[in-house]
Amino acid sequence: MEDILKQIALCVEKGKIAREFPHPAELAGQDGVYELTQRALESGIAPQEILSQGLIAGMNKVGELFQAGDVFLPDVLVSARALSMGMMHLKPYFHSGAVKHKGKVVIGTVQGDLHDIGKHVVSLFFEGGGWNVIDIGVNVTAQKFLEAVAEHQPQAIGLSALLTTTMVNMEPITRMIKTTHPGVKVVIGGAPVTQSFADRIGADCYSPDPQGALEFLNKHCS
Amino acid sequence: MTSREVLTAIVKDKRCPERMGLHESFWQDTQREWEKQGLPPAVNILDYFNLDVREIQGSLFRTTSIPVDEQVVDEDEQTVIKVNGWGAKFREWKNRPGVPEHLSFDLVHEDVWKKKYRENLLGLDLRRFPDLEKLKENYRAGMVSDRFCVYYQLIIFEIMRKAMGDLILLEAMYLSPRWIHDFCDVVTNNIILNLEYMIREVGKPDGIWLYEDMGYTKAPFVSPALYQEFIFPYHRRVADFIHSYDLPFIMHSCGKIRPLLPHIVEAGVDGLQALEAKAGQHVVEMAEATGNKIAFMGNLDIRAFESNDPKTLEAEIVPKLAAIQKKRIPYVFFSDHSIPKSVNLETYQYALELHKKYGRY
Repeated sequence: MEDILKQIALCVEKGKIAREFPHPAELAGQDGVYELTQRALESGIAPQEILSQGLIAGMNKVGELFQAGDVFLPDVLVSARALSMGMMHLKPYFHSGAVKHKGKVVIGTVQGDLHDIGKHVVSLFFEGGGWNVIDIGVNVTAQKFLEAVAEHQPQAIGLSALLTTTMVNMEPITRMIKTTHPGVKVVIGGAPVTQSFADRIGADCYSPDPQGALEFLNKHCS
Repeated sequence: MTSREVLTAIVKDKRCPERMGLHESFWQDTQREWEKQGLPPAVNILDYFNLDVREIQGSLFRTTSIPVDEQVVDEDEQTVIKVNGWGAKFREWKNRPGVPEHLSFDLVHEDVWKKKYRENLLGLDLRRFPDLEKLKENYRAGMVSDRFCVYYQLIIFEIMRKAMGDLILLEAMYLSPRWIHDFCDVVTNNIILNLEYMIREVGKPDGIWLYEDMGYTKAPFVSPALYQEFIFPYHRRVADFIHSYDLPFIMHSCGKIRPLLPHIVEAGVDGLQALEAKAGQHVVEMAEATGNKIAFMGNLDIRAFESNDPKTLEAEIVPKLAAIQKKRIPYVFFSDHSIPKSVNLETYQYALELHKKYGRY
C-alpha cells in the first residue's frame, strides 16, 4: 500500500500526469497519477489516505522545491495538472463526505488590480495542499470579500496585489474582516508586499511564496 | 560627446565613455501628474530631461499572426475587454496602466496553431506596418538628432505570452515541446524578416531594443535549462541577425533573471535593461559575474524613488554609481523599471542631479 502512495507522490512531484504523456523522460511509458490513483482506489486504499499520503505529499514536495528555488513555474503547473488527475478520481468521495478538505479559503486580487497569475499559482498550491479554494476573481472590493466570507464561512482569506499602488487596498479589507469576522485569518502576498507592510495593516500572514502561506494555513487554520 | 556617441560606446562597444548613459521610462499618467507639480504642459518629456535614447515611433510592427491591432469587444465604466490578433482576450484598465487580466485564449493547442495561425507568419506581410511613411519620417527626424535611436519590438517569450498566456505556455514547454519549438522558430523568422525589411526600406538605426519579460520578483518564469532549450536558440538567431548589421541588441526583461544571465550573455545580448532591485539583483554583482561582456541599464530601486525622500534616494543611487565607476561597468542610469506618478517631479529632478554629480567615469 505504501508503495503505490509513494509512487503517486513521486508522479505528482515529477509531473507525470498519465501513461500517455511522455513527460518526464525518466518516467516515459510508465503509469502516471491518473492510473495509479485509480489502481489505489481499486485495491481498497482509503481515499483520504490517497489524498494525504499520495497527492498532497507529492505537491508538498513540489512546494518545498519551489520555495527553495530548485524548481520553476512550469514544474509547478505540470505537477498541479498531475494532481488534478488524481483529484478527478476522488471527486465522488468529496461529495459523499468520505474525503474532507482541510478547510476553506476565499482568495482574490484586491480592488484596483487585474493581475491573476500569482493568485492562480497560489490557488494551485492551496488546492494541492488539501484546501477548498473559492476564487472570487480580480479587482475585488472589500464589500465583495465580506460577502464571500459571510457566504462561504472560510477559515482564511488570501489577498493578492501586484502593484505598490494597489497593495494599499489590502488594508481596508483586512480591517473590515478583522472587525466583522475576527476568527478568519488574513493571508497576503504579491510582488510589492513585505512583512512590515503585513504587520502594519494587521494581516495574520505574509509569505513571499505559496508554500509559506500553505504552511501557515496548515498550522493555524486546520 | 553626444547621446549617440555615449550610448554606442556603452552598449555596442562595452566601454566607459566620459559619463554614464541616462534614460528612463515613465508611466502614462506620470507626465499628467507632474504637470500639476510644475512640468511645462505637453513637452516631450525625453527632450525636457535630456535623456539619451529615442524609440523610433512606428517601428513596433504587428507581431500577432493576424496582423491587426487589438480590438475592443466590451467595456464597462472602468475597464475594456480587448481581443488581439491571436484571438486572446484581456481585460485592461481604461485610464491607467496595469497588468491585464487574462480572460481566454484561442491558441491552446498545436492543432489550432497549425490550422489558424502558423501560415500567416511565413512571409512578409506589409499589413504589419500600420504607417510606413510616418515611420520613415520618424526615422529621419531621429537620425538627424544626436540621440541614440532604436527600433523597438516584442520578442519570442513575450509574444508567446500574448498568444497563449502564461499558463498554457509554461505547461506546453513540458507537454508540447514540439509545438513550442515550432512556434519560436516561425515567430523568430518572422521578426527577422520584418526587421530586415525595416532596415532595408526605412534605414539602419543605432540599436534594436527588444522587450522580453522573463521573470517575476522571485525567479525567472522558466529554469535555466528550459531557457537554454526553448528560448536561447531564438535569442541567438535574433542576436546574430542584429550583429550582422553591426548593431547592438538591447533586451528588456522585468523580474528576477539573474539565473539566466550567463545564457543571455552567451546568446549575444549587448545591453540588459531593468534589473529589478526588489528581485534581489545588484548591477555590480551581475557585471562582475559577466566580466563586462554586457552593458547594464537600470537597477535603481524604484522604491527609493517612491519614498520621495532625498536621503533614501541618495542611499540607493550614490553608492551604486560609485561602485559602477570604480569597477568601470558600462552602464546607463535608469530606474529598475519605470517611473510611476507616485514619484514626485522634484524627486526625479534630484535623481538627475545625482547622475550629473556622480555619473561620470
